[in-house]
Amino acid sequence: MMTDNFDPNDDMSWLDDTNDRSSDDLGAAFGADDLLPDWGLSDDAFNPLIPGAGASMEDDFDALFGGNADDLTGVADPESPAVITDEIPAWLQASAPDPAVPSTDDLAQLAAPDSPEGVPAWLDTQEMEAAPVANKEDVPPWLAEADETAEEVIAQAEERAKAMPAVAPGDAESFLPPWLQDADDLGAADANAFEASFDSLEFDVDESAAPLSMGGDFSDPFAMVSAPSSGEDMPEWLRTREQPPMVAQDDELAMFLSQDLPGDDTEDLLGNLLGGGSDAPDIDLLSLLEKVDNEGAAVKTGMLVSGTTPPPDDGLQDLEMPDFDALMTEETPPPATPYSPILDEPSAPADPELDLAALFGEPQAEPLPPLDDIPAPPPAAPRSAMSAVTPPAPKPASTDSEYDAFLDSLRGDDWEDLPPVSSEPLDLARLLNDPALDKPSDPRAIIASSELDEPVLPEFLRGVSVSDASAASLLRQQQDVPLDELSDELRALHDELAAIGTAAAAAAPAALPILQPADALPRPAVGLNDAQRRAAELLRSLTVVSAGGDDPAAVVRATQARAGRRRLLSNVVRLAVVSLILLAFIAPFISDAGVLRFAAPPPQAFVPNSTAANAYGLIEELPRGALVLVSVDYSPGAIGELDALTTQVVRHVFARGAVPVVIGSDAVTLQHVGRLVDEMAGRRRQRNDEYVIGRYLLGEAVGTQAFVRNLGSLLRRDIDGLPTGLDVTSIDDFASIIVLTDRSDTVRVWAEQVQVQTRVPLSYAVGVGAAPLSRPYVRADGRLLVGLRDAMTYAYQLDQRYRTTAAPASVTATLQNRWYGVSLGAVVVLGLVVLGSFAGIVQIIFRRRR
Amino acid sequence: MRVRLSAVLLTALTMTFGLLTLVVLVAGDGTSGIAALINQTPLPELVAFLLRLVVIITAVAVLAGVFNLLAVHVRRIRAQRSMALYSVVMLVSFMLVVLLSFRPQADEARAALEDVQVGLELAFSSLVLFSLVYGAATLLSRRPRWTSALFLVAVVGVLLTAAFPAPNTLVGQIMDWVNAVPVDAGTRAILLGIGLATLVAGIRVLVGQDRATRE
Repeated sequence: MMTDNFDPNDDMSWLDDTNDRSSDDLGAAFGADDLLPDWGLSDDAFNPLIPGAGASMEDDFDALFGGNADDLTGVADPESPAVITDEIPAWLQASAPDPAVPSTDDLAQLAAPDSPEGVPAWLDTQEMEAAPVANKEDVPPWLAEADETAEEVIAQAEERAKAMPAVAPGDAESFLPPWLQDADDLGAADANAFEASFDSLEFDVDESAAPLSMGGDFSDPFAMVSAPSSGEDMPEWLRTREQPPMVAQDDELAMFLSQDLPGDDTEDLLGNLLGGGSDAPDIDLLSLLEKVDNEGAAVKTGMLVSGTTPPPDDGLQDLEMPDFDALMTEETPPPATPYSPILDEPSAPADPELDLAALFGEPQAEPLPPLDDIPAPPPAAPRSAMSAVTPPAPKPASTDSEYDAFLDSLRGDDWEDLPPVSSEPLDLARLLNDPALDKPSDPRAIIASSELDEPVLPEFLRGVSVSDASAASLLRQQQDVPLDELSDELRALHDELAAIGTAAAAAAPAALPILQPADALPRPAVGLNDAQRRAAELLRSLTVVSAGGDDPAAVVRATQARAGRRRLLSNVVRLAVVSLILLAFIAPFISDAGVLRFAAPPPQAFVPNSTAANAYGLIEELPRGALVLVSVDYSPGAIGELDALTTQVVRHVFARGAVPVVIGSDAVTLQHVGRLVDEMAGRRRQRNDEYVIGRYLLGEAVGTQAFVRNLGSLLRRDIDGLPTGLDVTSIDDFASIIVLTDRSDTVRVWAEQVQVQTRVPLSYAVGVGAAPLSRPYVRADGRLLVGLRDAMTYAYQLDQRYRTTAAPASVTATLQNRWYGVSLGAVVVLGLVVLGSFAGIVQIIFRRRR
Repeated sequence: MRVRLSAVLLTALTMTFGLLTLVVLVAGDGTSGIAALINQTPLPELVAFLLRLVVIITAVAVLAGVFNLLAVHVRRIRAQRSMALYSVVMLVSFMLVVLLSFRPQADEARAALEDVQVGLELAFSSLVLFSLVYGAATLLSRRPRWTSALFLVAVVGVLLTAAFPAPNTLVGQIMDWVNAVPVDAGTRAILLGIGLATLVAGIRVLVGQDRATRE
């Protein structure tokens, strides 16, 4: 059973259907057996349409009422023969399926898995036909007589049906009673009006009687059963047998009675149902079956019970009624056989479909007592009747003669004019699967689905329809029970709840203040403290209610103006920052004022044994004509910083008479450096003779490795495609390698791809930003030049060493101006950062104070 | 398990040539032992050819990227979007530089690179500088945390030593120590992580578990 409190950690072994083969069959039919519920899988096991579905009624009821509780869902294997156990009476063990029974096919067709939803497997099995009795000698006399009666009834009904003219489906409406025809004419738009029409249904209830105590247990299936109007009217036979009289819900009873009942025995069955009049016990079969079903039973039960005014206390609370929930489990012993006028009446047809004895908890299928042993119901007071229906209430019949008289009254002219009823057995499965029950507001759907093609209703039921709407209307008509009629426990509970409600109302504030505009906020009434008042002021300022007042346009204008001011202020701040930085970097180039050149100049020479001094010393030792590979791997954005180093290195190489071979991994920078080197070389040095501007390398690590292993081909032509004239085949042909980069990754690539496979010394010239990550790749005795500072030192040292080296005359002055510009820019940036941080701290303090 | 033939072939090729390249690189230019044996085989030439092939393919990929960029801008012009004017400018500039490159001296093309491309990249670098300065100045007001304060202290220290280089002063000595010990330690830790990740990535490629060749 699906509940809201479903716990997946619970024992779910009951889901493990033992019917593997039946599951396979259904899975083969539907394609996905895993998607089918267990009852849907087991349904085929009892479907007579499926070959080999040999589950018998014995197995069904044994599993349902008397067998193991686990077997409720584990139905018999359809392909395995029915297991006959000792628990089955001998007269049933001797039975065998007889396909000749005329109702079998109809039942199978109705039980086909076309609409398996709504009815669990165990309930679906109850509509299975009982196997024909092979050895009728073992059958108890009363049941054998019933079978014979049923066969006779079926035969008579078939004959009568043959005598009747065939009714076309379209003509079925002409057979409808007037109230159904009127309902059929109602459109969808009038559905509500139709539903509201049932609000006029009223019940005549003896208000003086004590209310029916339900005990709060709606799970009790007999909670659906109301009582006669008065306890004093309780018939004697009901009191002695402690059998609760049942008031059928007229909707379901009409539905039930509208089903095709066998031939003439319909009268007998109807007589039993009516119990000799309105005071006889009626059985709400549908409600009972729905209660036996899982979900929604309580809802329906409650609705049905609450739809009536509480009946008087007639002692029904003490009646021992079969516990249907307990019947579902094995642990609960089977209750005493309840009295049922339908079951116990020998004249009632033993409908193989309506095996109510098994349904109502007769696990051992004991023979029922003969009818003579049952005291005849005495005359009872008229039952609660629906005033709106105003049927001709028949006189109560407490004796057989009165029964006959009542049945004779029912068998009037109108009764004779009724079309013959069908001999088909009562199909509870189809009835419960009826979708019209889910949508009962449409009377045509009800008529079509419930197959009310024959108006076999008695007169007093013709004004009642099968609809939840009527129950809903009954529910709306429910009235509170007077306090005087409550029991002591309920009255105490009522008083306690009333006391709780009074205390809660006293503790609750009178009313929550509605937030008003700021000016209209009644501050004293709210009673804000200082902190809350400040928060309210802040909220008011944020919502700009105070600025704009109640005018929305003014609020929008104020908001836009404030946003504009904020945006303008932000832009002004950004513009100021940019201007200050630009001014700091440009000022040393414009003016030679001492205040702008406050930075101390770099040293005139490298510190001995430093990484920079090692780099300088390496180039200083180059022989004339030696090849020096210069890789310019910095981006154009680093030109301002690293161009100076490139210039000094190339100057030094030229000064040593070596041949710089320039390559690069950035095409733009390589072009730029090529032009720079061309300017440095001047007219005295020939390109591709005393210097080479090589190819652009791409692919980073792979490109560098490919260059090292394919030097000959890659250096055969220069950047313009002209032949270089170089005769190199290995990286070892170079005297030195100098890598200039602004990224530490380039240092790593050269260190990993080249430095490990050559003995040629590498020197690195990096930017300040790449220096920290480049230092680990440089040994203590390595060669590393960093930024503008080392460039200036390099220039100073070159000027001191090679005065005659051709170089642009403005190099030193430009380097100095750049150095001062960078220093001033650093100071400005420092001031901006400090000022901004201070402003941030002040802002934080003000926020916290506010 | 479904195995695609193309994936198997790709993985096999990757593993084979990866192992060959590794063997040749390990052997290097050794003249003794296994290295000499390897160098006597055509494997070094094969590896060199493969590397050159990779570079050529990479260059072709760059060229394909250029054509794709042109196609994108052509589509934008055809669609007449609001930014199509910039696409027109881009295409005209591209065609102009290409045409100038066919001149014998190609000074105009070099000038275009020097005066336009370099200038643009310098401007971008300046923009980065401005963004960093503005972000640092408003850091405390946006993210008032102790880590922000620590970051600002480090920035101020570096700027101080950059603006007022004084190696012999106390501030200079402190910054030298900071650069020599904590910064260098952190840098080496980062590089060790990079090296380990590179090693793992290489092993995955060699054993055929790299995602690029596995599926």
